[in-house]
Amino acid sequence: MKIVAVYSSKGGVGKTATAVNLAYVASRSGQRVLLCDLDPQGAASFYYRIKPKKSFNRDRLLQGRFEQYIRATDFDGLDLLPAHFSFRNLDLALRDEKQAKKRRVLGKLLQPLAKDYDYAILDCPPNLTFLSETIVTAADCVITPVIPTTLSLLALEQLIKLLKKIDCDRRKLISFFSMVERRKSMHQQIMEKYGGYPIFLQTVIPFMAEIEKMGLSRQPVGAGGQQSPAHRAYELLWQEIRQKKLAT
Amino acid sequence: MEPLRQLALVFQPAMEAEPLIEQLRHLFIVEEQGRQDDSETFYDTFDWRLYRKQLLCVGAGRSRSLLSFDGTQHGMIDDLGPGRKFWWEMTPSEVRETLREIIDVRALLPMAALETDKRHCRLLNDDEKTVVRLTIRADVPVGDGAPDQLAKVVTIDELRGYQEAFDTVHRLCVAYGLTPLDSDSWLAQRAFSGSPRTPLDYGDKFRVELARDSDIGTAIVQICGYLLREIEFNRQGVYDDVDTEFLHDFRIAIRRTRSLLSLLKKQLPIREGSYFRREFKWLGGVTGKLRDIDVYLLQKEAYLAMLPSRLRPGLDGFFADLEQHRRHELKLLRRHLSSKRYRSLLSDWRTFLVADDSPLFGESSRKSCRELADRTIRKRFRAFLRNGEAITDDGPDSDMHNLRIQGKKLRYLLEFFRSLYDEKSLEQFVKQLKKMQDNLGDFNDLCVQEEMLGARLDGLGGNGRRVLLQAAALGGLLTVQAKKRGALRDQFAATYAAFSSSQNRELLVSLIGSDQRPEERAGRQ
Repeated sequence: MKIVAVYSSKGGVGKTATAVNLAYVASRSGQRVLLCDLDPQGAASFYYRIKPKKSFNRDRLLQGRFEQYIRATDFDGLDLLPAHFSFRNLDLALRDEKQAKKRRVLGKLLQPLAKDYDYAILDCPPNLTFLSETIVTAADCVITPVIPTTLSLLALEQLIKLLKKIDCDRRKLISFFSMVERRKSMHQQIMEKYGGYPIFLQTVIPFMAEIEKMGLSRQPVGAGGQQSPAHRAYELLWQEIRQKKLAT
Repeated sequence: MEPLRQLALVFQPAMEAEPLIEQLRHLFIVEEQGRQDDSETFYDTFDWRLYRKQLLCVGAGRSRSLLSFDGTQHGMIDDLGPGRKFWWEMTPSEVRETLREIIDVRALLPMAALETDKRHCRLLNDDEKTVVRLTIRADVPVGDGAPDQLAKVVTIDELRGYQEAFDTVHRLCVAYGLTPLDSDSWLAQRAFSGSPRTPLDYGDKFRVELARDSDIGTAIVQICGYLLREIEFNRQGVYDDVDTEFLHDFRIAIRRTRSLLSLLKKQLPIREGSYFRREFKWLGGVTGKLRDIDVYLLQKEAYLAMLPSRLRPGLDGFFADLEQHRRHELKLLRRHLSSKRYRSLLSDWRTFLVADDSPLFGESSRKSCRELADRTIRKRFRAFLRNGEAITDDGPDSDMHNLRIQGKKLRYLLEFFRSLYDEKSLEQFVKQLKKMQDNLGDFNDLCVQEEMLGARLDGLGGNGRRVLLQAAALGGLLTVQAKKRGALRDQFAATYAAFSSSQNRELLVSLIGSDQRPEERAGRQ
């Protein structure tokens, strides 16, 4: 099982939309996928119409007893571990563990599921804390959506710094331009300047009303019809990620 | 993780599905996903190799799905062209490999068909999230004499994390009056309910259950009746050339019949005995050439693998000629199988076995079968040991050949009468015998092949490149075969010593008793 984290310390860059749609695209291609909603806001769970069971919480997650809380989505081959409000304190719960052990905790938690899924896709909360360290340590690939704006680039820089600090392989980090609006000159300029860096994928995800509307339709963009341009864009993105970072 | 549950429940005959759906609507949003009219054909080999492994191969159009009896999908074969029935005619995939292991050289044949009408529903919670999937299916078996329609079945599929909803639907169905079906076999039972074939009606092992106090006549009728059925069962498959195993099984049934006729020569009336021995010998003879060719063709890959790649093209002509020869032999065999001689033999044989005035039911056939079996097995075992002891390292190959025939006779006897003896000890003895037979059989196969390859080599004429290539390839094969044959001959002494060990002799004595006559035994006591 490969662990793919969709992560950025900045909010509103399209992390959840990316995780939700990549998980759907991957499952459509015949892979067994577990989408883990680690963001206490629970947007990914909301998009898939899944609520956690009452007995589920942060402690159950950290004790590794969460298999029974995984729920099937409406799509074959795609399951979801729902978010819980108590996930907002995941950092506090990790605080007492030793640094090195703490970083490995997430990978260990997911290990028992390795034979059940081909991919675990993590939708991560926007912060830069202990939890971020465990996420990047556990992941085989960290995907960071970047809106072509200065602040968004700053978040990417911070993440590179974090990887360096905890001595983590920087090659697992990959980025793509998200919510791109071609008519905005700043978007164009930034993409021209940075688009050639090897960290950036060729595929970009434009700003599309269709993606915004996921909040109403409560399903991935591809579920409404395979002709969707947004779905096609996520398909290309997933193909490129697999080729560049997940090829075995 | 815990496997997901699937349950199948059957409606009472006159029950409609609609009221059940209405009841479900009180608890869930029921979303109908449309109806699907399908024709499902169930494929298996003639001898039920998939069914034995609790597998179903379900085909619709050009695709085939492999399922476990409990409905687990093992994968799919797409785009199987018309008339394709062997694993090697399928596009490479994991399922193909699974099938290859199980069906080997046998063809996948349509064994039964169902016309199905499936109604798929999703049950949603208040968030409009699917929590249970449900399918109601109505099946009509296809075939003469099949029942008109089977009672409707509902299958309920659990979705991960929604156990309660699954349990609720299950309870509701039971309360409505539906009866649970055996989740491991309902589909298989349903599939073959209208088929002219009954699952496992043709087996891979010879198995006749004789009564312990059976008399000779009854035993012969039972054993030969079983073999006659095998001959008749396979005849059409041989004629239609469905796969090579029809002819193989056809010939084994003939050989067993011939063996019984010769082993029990004294128990049969002279005139009938010699007539049937002659006629079955003829039938064995006319089927032999085609089988020989099949054996070579089935070995094609093995032959090619024996040669370095540069010599392999030399066998192209060899196999092309074999194919052509096979077509000719098949035509001849078809003629024999449609002949008056064949029809008379089978009908005479049937009459001999079942007619009230058959000599098999006369006074002389009322003796105990067990005594006869003991005596004959003992005699054959002794003959085997006598021939075996006489074999020396530098003796002629024909000695090995004779011993092989002796072994075969002994093996058939043990199989015919296995139900009269302690099963475990007999199995143990047969296992030892089989090891011995494998050595002798492989040795003989190599001798026959070498002779054929040698004759082929001798027959090559001219000095063109193709001829030279073929000669080189045949020479290569002959070298490898001779080496293998030498190794088998070297192994013979050890294999024979193990088989003829005192331990094995005692095992047989424990089965059939010693050869002292009852009165001698009584005298000693």
